[in-house]
Amino acid sequence: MTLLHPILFGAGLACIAIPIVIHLLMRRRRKPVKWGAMRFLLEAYRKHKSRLRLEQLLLLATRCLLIGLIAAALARPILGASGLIGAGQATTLYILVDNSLTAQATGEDGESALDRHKEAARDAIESLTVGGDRASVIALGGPASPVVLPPSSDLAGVAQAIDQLTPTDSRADLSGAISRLRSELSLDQEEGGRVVVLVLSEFLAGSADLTAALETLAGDAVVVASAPDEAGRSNVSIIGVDPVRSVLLAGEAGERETGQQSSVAVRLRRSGSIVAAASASTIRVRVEGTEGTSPVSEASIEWTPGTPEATANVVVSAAPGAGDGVIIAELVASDEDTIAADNTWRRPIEVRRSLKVGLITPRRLAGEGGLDPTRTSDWLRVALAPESVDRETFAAREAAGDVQVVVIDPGSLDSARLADLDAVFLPSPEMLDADGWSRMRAVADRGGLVVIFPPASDRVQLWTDLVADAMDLPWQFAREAVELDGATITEPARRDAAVDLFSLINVELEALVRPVRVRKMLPVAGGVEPGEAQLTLRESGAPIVLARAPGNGESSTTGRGLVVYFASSLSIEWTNLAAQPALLPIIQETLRQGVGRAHGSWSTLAGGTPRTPTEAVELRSEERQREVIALDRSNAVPVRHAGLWRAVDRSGASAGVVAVNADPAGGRTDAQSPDLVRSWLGSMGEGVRWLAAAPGDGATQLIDDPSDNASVSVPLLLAALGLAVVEVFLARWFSHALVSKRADRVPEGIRA
Amino acid sequence: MAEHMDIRRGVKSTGSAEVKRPEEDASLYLHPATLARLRSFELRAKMIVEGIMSGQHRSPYQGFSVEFAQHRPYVPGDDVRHLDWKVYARTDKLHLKQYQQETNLDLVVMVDSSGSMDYGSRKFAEASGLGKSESPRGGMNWSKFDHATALAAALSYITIRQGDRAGLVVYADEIRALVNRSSAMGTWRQIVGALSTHPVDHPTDLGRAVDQTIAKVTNRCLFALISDFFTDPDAIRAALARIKHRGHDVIIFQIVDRDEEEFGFTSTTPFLGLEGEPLIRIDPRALRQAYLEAFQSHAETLERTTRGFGFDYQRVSTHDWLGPPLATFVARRNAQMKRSKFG
Repeated sequence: MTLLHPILFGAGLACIAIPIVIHLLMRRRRKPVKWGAMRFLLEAYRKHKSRLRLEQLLLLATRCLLIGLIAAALARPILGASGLIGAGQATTLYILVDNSLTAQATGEDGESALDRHKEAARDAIESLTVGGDRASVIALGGPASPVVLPPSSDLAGVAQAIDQLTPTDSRADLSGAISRLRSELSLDQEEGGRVVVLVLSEFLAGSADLTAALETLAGDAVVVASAPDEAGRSNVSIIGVDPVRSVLLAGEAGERETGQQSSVAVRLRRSGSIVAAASASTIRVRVEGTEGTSPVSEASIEWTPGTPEATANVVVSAAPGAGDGVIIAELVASDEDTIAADNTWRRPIEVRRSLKVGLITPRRLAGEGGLDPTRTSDWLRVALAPESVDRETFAAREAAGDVQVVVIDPGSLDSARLADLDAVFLPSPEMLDADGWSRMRAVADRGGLVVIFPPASDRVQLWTDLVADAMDLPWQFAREAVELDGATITEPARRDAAVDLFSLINVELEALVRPVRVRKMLPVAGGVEPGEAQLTLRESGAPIVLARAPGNGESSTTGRGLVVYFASSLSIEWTNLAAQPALLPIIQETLRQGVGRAHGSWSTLAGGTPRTPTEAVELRSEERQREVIALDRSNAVPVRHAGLWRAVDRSGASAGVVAVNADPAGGRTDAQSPDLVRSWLGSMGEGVRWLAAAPGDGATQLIDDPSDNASVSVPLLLAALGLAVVEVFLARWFSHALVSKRADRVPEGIRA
Repeated sequence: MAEHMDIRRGVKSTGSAEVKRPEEDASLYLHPATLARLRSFELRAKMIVEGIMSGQHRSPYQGFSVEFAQHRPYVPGDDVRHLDWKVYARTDKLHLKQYQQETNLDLVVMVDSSGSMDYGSRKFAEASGLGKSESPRGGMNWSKFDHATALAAALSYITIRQGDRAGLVVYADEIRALVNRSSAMGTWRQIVGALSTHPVDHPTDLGRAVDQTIAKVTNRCLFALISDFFTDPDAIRAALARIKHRGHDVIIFQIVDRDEEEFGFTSTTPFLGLEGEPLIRIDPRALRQAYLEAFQSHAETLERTTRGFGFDYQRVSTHDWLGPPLATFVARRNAQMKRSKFG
């Protein structure tokens, strides 16, 4: 049995002394009557002494029991539940503490929700009996992690573990905690006793995903939860940083002091009551490179009432030096921002002096000069690095550009040649055998871009099978070219895919491709998913440029590497694209955006398992020097704290920078309906009772639950009422008021 | 407690209470209405006895008075003054002349002043009728002793007004005060004065008080015993037996308060005995029935015992007027007079 108001119960029990005290006080107050006929009174008294004493004791016991019943009713006892406070069988208390990003939200007093949860947890532990009860702690910062599990009877140690809890930057993982708890309870069934599950959270949108199903706890576990914060908190957070280019080209050292500029979209979100008001936020964005930091760019956002999200576009410059860089966006000033941990977003970015592209095509024979308009490779070379080719003689020349083209003969493919390539262009795919395609797959898996053009041949093209197998593509290539009647190209109407090769030129793209005509193409007949088509034929809608990550089972938006397929050769017989101004921007954007997309970024959200370079064996925190996470390829190792991590290989050398950002979902501080929260938590067991910490004394008590039908207060009150009737009857019966009538006058006897 | 004799009034008294003027005290205890009734009783008494005794009553005792009764043989030690010389002259034998004694009826009022007599629930001002709210002893209530005082005053008043002698014995565990028998009107005031200021605070020993009293009385008397008789019935029976043995007549006046008769208390109250009984805290309603049974049983035993000796018994409530007990007294006295004449 649980007492919702144990303090009231204690006070009520103390009130049992009231009738006794009143009786004693009345004895003192009343002056004795000096009685003459004492002889007869003593005779009657001696004759009925035993009966009178029994009657008095019975009446006193009835009155005490009456007060006790009323006290018990006021204490709101609940049958079938075990209380946090109370004696009896041993209690096992499982405390689920929300230490997620949301729990970092501070109140007006500067105290965070986590601090309050810790205090409530300590109070709950203090209510346990040392030596008999046990306690366990599970931190909800995603993914949920056991702090003290299985339960320990060392309550002081458990309290210390609670004190040492630190907040994570991830969202709360109550479903994971319940799943873990369910397993534990199934193992702990032999221990017996009462099981109380105490969930300490504010159940804001970021800490309680009401759409996530909770498993049902076995047994008679009582679920007690802290009351939801019905007011919510105001918070402004950065929820994403999207550079227009994932690879910044800094050029040769000394050539450009500030490197290439790039636009960065910084997405922000407001949550809580601040959404309904106007406010202002200021962000600063910089790029940190291996040799320094770029100038800081600043932008301000004026929020209008009712606007939850906004995007600020900031232009940043590439940091000096080549290598791993990081775009760091910081929210430096904002109204009513209660969580600081989500005010910084880190976006790894690659800063390169130039891109190295392999053009896999047979070498031109000596003496061949000039541009062969039927050769796709020639057009590609011009389009990729116009300055490196003599337009007259088509001879290569030394030129310092952003793109370096390396022509590799299909017959001399080896790993060494392909190792440092950012992208490979395959204008003659029919010349690669299976081994060649496996090497192409290796390039893609390393984060490289593989661009495939069909050969300008009318024959049956069997190479497509090798491509599909090697790249594990779902695309169903046609084996013969299809003739078109000068089809025109357009951009797909709806582009919601992450792979958008032409996003930077989409404004001009329509005008650029307008004169382009396609006469032949080797189409992809099926297996194309929405969003993979980058350009399509206006007439048929058939994709003319497709892109996706290799690997049939992986999403093209998150995988490493990228395969781009041009369905038409650049031969003038197939299309006039090569003769149009659109060729250069299309090829350049395919290269630059494709490389950026193929490289991806080593970033993840707190609570997730970061994608790391394959050679990395551990992660070392850039901000907390002592924090090291050993990577285990067989077991996912989650990272719960935001920050920059250096991936280190076996030799100790850097393998890249991994960014972990605060989970935007955890930064949602909107209040949620207590009824919905109750319903959600109710799926764990039979109802949920709220817990509140009484301010000041720190005592915990169960809050009244009007909908709780297990309360026995009403029956107790009815019993008290019945007992009151019995008491009245007994009082009259024992005073013989019912037996004989007598004068009600006040005796006027002599008073001492 | 020192015992002293008030020579001026002829009252032997104990205790240190201030003695007030008898006239004042008598007016306190004899309500005008009571006094008015006294006169009628007196007249009625006179009407009853007039023409029979003329205020004198024959005594059963034979002495050496005016009227010759008989002769008896002389024995050595007899007073030679009562020898009948004429009989000696005729018969040569010594005989004494015996005469029938003529005497008045002596009334001895014995008033109980034990602690239990101090209880009273009636207001003194209401009972006394003179507007005074405080008794001469300082109490605000009309106690049983006050009622006994009034009754004793009335009895002695009747007696003295008829020319008979009246005396007073105030007792508790022994005789506490004494007024010698006399037919003077001043004696009546002495009786009232002795009673009005007498302390009421000792335990009861009726047997001892009776023994002490009858030792002082040589002639036949009418004893008016005024008490609540809250004592052992056997002790009462023994005392009455001794009085009976000495040839005295007795009227028992049992003074009780209405509270004692009804026991109408309704709330839990501590009770403390007036004669040293321990304090008990009881719910009176719970014990009322048993109390009343004990009380009534005792009263019936007392009456049965009294009447068993041929004496009269009268219960007197402090809330009632003195008419009934006085009528009882007059009737009893008349009966005694008849016995005296024809016995």
